[in-house]
Amino acid sequence: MEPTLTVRELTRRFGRRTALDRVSLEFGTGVTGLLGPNGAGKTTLIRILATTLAPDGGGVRAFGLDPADREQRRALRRRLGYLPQNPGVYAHFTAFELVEYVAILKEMNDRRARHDEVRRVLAEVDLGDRARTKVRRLSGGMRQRLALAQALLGDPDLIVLDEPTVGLDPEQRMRFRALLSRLGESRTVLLSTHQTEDVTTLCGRVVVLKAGSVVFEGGPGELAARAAGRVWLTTAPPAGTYWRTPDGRYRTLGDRPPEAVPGEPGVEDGYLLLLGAEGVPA
Amino acid sequence: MTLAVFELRRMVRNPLIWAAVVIAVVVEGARASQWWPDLTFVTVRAVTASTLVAGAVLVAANLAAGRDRRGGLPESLGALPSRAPARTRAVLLAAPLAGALAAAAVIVPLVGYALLRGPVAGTFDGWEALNGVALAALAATAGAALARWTPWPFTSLLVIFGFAFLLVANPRGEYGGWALPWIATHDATLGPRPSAAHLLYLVAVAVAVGAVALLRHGPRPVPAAVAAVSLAVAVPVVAQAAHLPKPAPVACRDHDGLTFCPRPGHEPWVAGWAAALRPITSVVPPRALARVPELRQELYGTLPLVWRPGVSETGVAGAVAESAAGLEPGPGCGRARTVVALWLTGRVAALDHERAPANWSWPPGAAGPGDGWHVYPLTESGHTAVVPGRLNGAFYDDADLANARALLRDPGAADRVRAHWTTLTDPATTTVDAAPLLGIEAVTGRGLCGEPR
Amino acid sequence: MRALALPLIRAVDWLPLAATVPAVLVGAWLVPAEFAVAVVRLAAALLAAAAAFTLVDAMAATTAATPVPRRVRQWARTLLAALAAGGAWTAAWWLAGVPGSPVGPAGETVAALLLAFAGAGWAVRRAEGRAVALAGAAPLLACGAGTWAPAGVGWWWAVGPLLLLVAAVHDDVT
Repeated sequence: MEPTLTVRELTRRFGRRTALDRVSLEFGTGVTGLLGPNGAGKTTLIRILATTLAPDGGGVRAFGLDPADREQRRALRRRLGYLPQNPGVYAHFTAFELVEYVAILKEMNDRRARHDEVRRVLAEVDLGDRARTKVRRLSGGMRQRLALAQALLGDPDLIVLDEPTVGLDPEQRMRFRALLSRLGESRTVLLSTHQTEDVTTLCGRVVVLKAGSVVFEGGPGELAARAAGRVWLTTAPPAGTYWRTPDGRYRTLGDRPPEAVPGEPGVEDGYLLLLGAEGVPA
Repeated sequence: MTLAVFELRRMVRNPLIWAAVVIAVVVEGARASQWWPDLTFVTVRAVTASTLVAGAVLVAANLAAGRDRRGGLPESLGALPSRAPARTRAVLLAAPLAGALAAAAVIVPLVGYALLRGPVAGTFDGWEALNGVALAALAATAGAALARWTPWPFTSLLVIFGFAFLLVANPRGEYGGWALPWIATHDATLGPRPSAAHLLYLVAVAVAVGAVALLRHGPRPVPAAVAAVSLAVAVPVVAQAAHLPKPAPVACRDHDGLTFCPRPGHEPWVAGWAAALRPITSVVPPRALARVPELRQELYGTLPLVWRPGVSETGVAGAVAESAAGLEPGPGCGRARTVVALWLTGRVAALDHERAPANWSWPPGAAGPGDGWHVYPLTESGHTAVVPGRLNGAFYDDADLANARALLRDPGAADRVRAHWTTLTDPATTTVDAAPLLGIEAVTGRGLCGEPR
Repeated sequence: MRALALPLIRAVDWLPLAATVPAVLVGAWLVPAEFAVAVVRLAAALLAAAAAFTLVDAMAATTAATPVPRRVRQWARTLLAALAAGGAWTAAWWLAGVPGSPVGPAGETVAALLLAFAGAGWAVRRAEGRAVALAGAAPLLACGAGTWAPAGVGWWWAVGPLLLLVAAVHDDVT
């Protein structure tokens, strides 16, 4: 994999709290999922990669551009699509106006081309028929898709998405996954999420952050493999943390409980075991 | 109650309020340091300064009461058992308390600073000080009411700037009188302020405004009754509020050959006035000092109601020197006694940058009187005396000033002036005649005296 | 730039200015002549505090990653608001019938606007939400604390440093 985006010794502090502690990563073409518990530093890393937050230490290089330099940062932003965690909207704009406004800020100066592009991205997120609807009249899921639409403007080479599937219904989530996997064929896509299902179906690579440090880097299969031989199904409630499956059995992680049978390991099992979540042995 | 304690904790830690406290104390403290402390005025000024804190409290209470309508919270809070009226009540309990505390944190240090500086005149009026505390409480309830009745945080600024306008444009309360939340300027000639009645008025209005805030949650009997009763108290109280009877005058007292007649409560300043005039009283013969009329502290009297060191003594010295030298308003150029009078004032405040006025009367249509005029503060309420020259209406020219400066440079001048006082203050003695007695080389003027240049 | 200006005019939160301008104009028109100077000075402060709200960008998190620099976006908002507030102040000055030259009061108004933009501009860098723009009023009230800030042409001297301050708070966050 030829890296398009490189992160070296990235450090960021907020007061006394270290949100990122000397993180080094490389990203290439394809979709990379960023997993981690709350406060692990995912959004901080996403914001630095989206050039909206400067690191305290270390550096980033994307497509040979250094965002620490004002002109190179601007050049990078021309090739960047970003969906923040809380995108914010102008509720009194129509969907078309809102996306067009961002298009103008992305320096799409030709009016006809800009309008075509706005229509294209609205269609991509299935909002083509809502172009003239005021944002305040859109549902939460539609607003999320609208925010996603602006991130797709200009066919960016680097797409950074912070929890993009929040608020989407299953059908939209499917469409979104199809869209992202298509984009990931030729672009660098980075998405931060709590949905391990998104990671399983979309991402060729997973990065797990914990307390500001990278604790895992690899494919989803590798993460799931960490749980091999540590997923169990029982008929009686076992000790420790467990959850009831639809067939009435109990699923637990870690050491084998009495009379348990092995279960099929998944990305989520590997993730939980990796983090040593409460009641789950690391 | 738990919610009120929670709100109180947040309010007490609010940096906006404490920044306002610091600014109010520093700015007013710096201003107050330029004046002799008069507790009556110090208290009024401290309360005026604390209105900055009241503004901050208004904004903080507004944000606290409006918090449940921002950032998508309505949806989450809508499902909770504690309803909006409980949240409003919590802010209405916490914000006035925090505001009162912050206002006290402005007023107490400023009054304490005045007491430390001394000599302190006037009287401390505790009710007056509590007006500041009540104002902050009123601001807090107003902030909460605005948050409940208007959706925009900006409305709190409209109220604050409206109040600021009243303070600036209507400082003596000509419009609105004691129904205004605060009258920033005190006119001591009107007698003590009705501070206790105004305090009761402010508290009643604060309670009424709090009740109005609660009425936003629906027409309920208790808040409606509280609002009605509060207004029933506030309206008659403010309608009858008026300045209190003036205190009895105090006896005049002699000091360094002069007679000082202070206003009640200003006796501690007599020694200070005498000390400020000692450069004159120490060189003028007692029989000449006896010619000086009583120095009365009253509006347009010889002694102003306020005292700003470095400014006020110049004005008083001019009046004393003129009387002691036997000068009268009108032309006095080229006379020895004019030089002596100027020399006396120069002993109190240097003549180095002094120029004889170009005009001895205010030029018609002019924005200002021009060079050589002096402005002396008379009262806290902004009355000033605008006086041509250093002597109390006696005309002189730059030649007289030059002779007075020459006299000031001579260390033996005091002995010579005292020795030849009668001759030097004789109306017939010119500066040229007196030059040998004064020990100076007389400079003579152009002859015109009191004519516009 | 024209393409940016039109949607920006719509994106800006004009409500505080829309509420303030009529109040200021009616006030300047109705109050007695003795209050003219005070009304015009208050109008400057009030319009400045209202204008500061135009710096709040509800989409700041999204627009932060666009190639048009933050300083361009914020200065565009600043200029739009300054034009509106300045126009309203000029009308208030004329309606109030203030005697003498407007040079001194105009300097004070420009300084008030820049103070408010600096206060609000600093605040919107750090926090989100409309209420953040209340910070624009803080320096104005601080200037008026204790005593009314002095009037006069001296305010023009403050304009240069204040412009630099506003430029600093409008600069890119990263």
